[in-house]
Amino acid sequence: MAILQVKNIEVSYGPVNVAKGISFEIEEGSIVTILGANGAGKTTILRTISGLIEPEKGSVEFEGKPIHGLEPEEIVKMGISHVPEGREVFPDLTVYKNLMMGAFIRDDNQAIERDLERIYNYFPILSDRKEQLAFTLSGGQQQMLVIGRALMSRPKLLLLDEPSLGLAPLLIKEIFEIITRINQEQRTTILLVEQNARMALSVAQHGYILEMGRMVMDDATEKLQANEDVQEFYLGMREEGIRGARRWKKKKQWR
Amino acid sequence: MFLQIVSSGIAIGCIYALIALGFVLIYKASEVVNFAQGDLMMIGAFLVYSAVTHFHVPFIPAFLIAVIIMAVLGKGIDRLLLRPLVGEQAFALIMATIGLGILIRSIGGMIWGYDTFSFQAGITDRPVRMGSVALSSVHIWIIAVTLLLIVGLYYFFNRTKTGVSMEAASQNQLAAYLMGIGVKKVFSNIWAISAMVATVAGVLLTPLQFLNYNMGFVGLKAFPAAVLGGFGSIPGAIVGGIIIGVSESIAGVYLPEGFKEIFAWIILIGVLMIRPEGIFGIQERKRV
Ligand SMILES: Nc1ncnc2c1ncn2[C@@H]1O[C@H](COP(=O)(O)OP(=O)(O)OP(=O)(O)O)[C@@H](O)[C@H]1O
Ligand SMILES: [Mg+2]
Repeated sequence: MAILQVKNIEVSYGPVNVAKGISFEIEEGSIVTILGANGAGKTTILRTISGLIEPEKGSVEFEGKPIHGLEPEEIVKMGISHVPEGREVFPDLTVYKNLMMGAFIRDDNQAIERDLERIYNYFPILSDRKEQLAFTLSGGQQQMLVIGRALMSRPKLLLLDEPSLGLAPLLIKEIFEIITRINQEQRTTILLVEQNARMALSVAQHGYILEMGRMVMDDATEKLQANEDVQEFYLGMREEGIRGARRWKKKKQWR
Repeated sequence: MFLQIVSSGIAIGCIYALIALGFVLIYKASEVVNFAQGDLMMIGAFLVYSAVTHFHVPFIPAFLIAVIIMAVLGKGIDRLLLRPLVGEQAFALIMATIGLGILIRSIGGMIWGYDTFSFQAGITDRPVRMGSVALSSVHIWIIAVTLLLIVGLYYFFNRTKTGVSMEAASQNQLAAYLMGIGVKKVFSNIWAISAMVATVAGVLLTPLQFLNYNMGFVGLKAFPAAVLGGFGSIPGAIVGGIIIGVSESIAGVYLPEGFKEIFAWIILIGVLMIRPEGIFGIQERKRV
């Protein structure tokens, strides 16, 4: 069953149309990735789902109920948690308080304590640093903090916006492993937006390819990994022996 | 003698500190500099005065009623004036709060007239002996109430869920939205708290200064206090206020006539030249 269904959404910033009728859906319990270059509209899609912006047209349905047009706080309460790009911590709050703010919408204090322990278990470094102010953490630690904080609301659907951006390869690997664990252990559905296609395709079951505000392709991730265009344009592989001139001419087949 | 000068400086400094605190709370949350903070203080003081002298309400209930009315007024200002201006340039917001200050002053004049009134706010001035020195009971009262209020606010913003969420929304609005914190409600509550703190400042000021529709100008002295403290910092505002109060009071005794009035501004210019980020300069750290 699809937990989230996005149908034909259109979003503009002023006169600039950045989502031109986007549709996709996410199976409950799966990891789905949206790949796209800079400016393709990935962040715009996530913001629309979490209620930060309202689509001009189209609909977003979560567990069968329309949620477009609702306030972000109502959407969090329904079970969608959005980790925005750029590690948006509360810089002058401690790690502990940052995590507790993730549970702002909840009142079940005992369960909150248990979830906190669980997050410290996923990210032991956060436990070591719990009394430290968030701005003193390294980039990777901040990324762990914002993912942990998002989990504190007990989401059914977790939206992750480029969690690997600017991190060292080893850290990226660690974060993706934890994303997989969260999906398997908590049964949290995950929508992962990435430019690091290699990593994203290796953890997701289904992938969408977004270009200039349109979904141009979608398939199971094994199929995408095997696709020539995806290999060339997203995985950075090129056939041996192609000359420079041919690269220029080569058109993506989906155009 | 010197101790008396210092204690009177601390007392008036506490009032600057409380007004500066109001500035800082609003600035931290919304980057709006509220030039009407002193005028809110005037309204708060007059409300208590009217309740006590015209309606014969005892002091404590009169004070509580005023605080509640001011909280509603603060929320009203946020809703009617500031919210429609969200996203406008800083300049527009500054003009709006300056205009608001003038408006409040005029309305204050229309309601209470342009005379000065004396109002002791339930406290009479008598010397209190502490060892070899005698301090004014009014100064002790002002310092004690300020301390209490600061401790209360500290507790609220650091230890309660609502308070921490307001602090969080001040630090990162986007993240606050995504946590489900009602950011609009937070701003509204910040204005309410600022207006309530202004009321306390106004009441504390009344034993030192006559009531007058113009008394909000004292609030201008809180501006250098806030700058001195780093403008985004609550402890900074308090320390800044007290430094201004004490140095002004010392200047009043040891420097030629007139220096007392301009001393705060000399400090302001000095700070802006030497250490523009203030003594607690921690701004511009929203992102790493
Ligand atoms: N607030 C805004 N105002 C105007 N244009 C915007 C705004 N935010 C994004 N855009 C434009 O919308 C388009 C899509 O932006 P979006 O942030 O969704 O892309 P993205 O796929 O997330 O890119 P990136 O990989 O760089 O994060 C871009 O062309 C961008 O310039
Ligand atoms: Mg983006």
